[in-house]
Amino acid sequence: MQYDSDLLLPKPFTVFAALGKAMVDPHILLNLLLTLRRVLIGLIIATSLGMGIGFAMGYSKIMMELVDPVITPLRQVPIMAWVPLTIVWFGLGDGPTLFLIVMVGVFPILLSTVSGVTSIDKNFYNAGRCMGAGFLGMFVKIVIPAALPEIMTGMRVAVSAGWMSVI
Amino acid sequence: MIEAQMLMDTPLLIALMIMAALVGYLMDYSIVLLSKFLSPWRFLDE
Repeated sequence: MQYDSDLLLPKPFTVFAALGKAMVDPHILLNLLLTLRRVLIGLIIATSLGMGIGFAMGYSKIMMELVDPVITPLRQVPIMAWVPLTIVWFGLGDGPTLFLIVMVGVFPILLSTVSGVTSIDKNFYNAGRCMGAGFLGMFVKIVIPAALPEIMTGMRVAVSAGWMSVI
Repeated sequence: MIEAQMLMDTPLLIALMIMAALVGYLMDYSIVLLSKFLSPWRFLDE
């Protein structure tokens, strides 16, 4: 019994030879760098939006009650459903791709930011107030450091989701 | 990758999938390094 079909399942040596060639192919490397650029720009936008809205939602019950009913249904829309709209709005080019990366990346960061902020022990806020910290001081010295680990976890999910969506 | 799909060049397609996985891994690892830099107290026990 012999299996010999490079179409169905190529031999490992054939794949590694193709990998070696692909890694030094300038056309492939250029396209990879362009894709990386789009992903990084999209993730910077997604991080800014996600963290901004997430901090507001986590810190304020009113913001949570106002914004959550908008965010939650928006999260459920399949990403491919946005493609025709993005082409109409942004035309052909980087616009639709960036929009899709932002849409895929913003929600994990937003949810992890909300979770990070809401899980801060109230005693930290009490201690901050006792030491005379104002709103900005508490935000910079308490909220951001306490929520940062969860935000970074959200960013890891966003990075992989953004990369998968653009590929 | 789309060209490899259209041309049914399976070895190249799998090679590009491996490249994409490697790049994704590197991006994830850079986030982990950033996390270790920004919140070192999380990793003190390691």
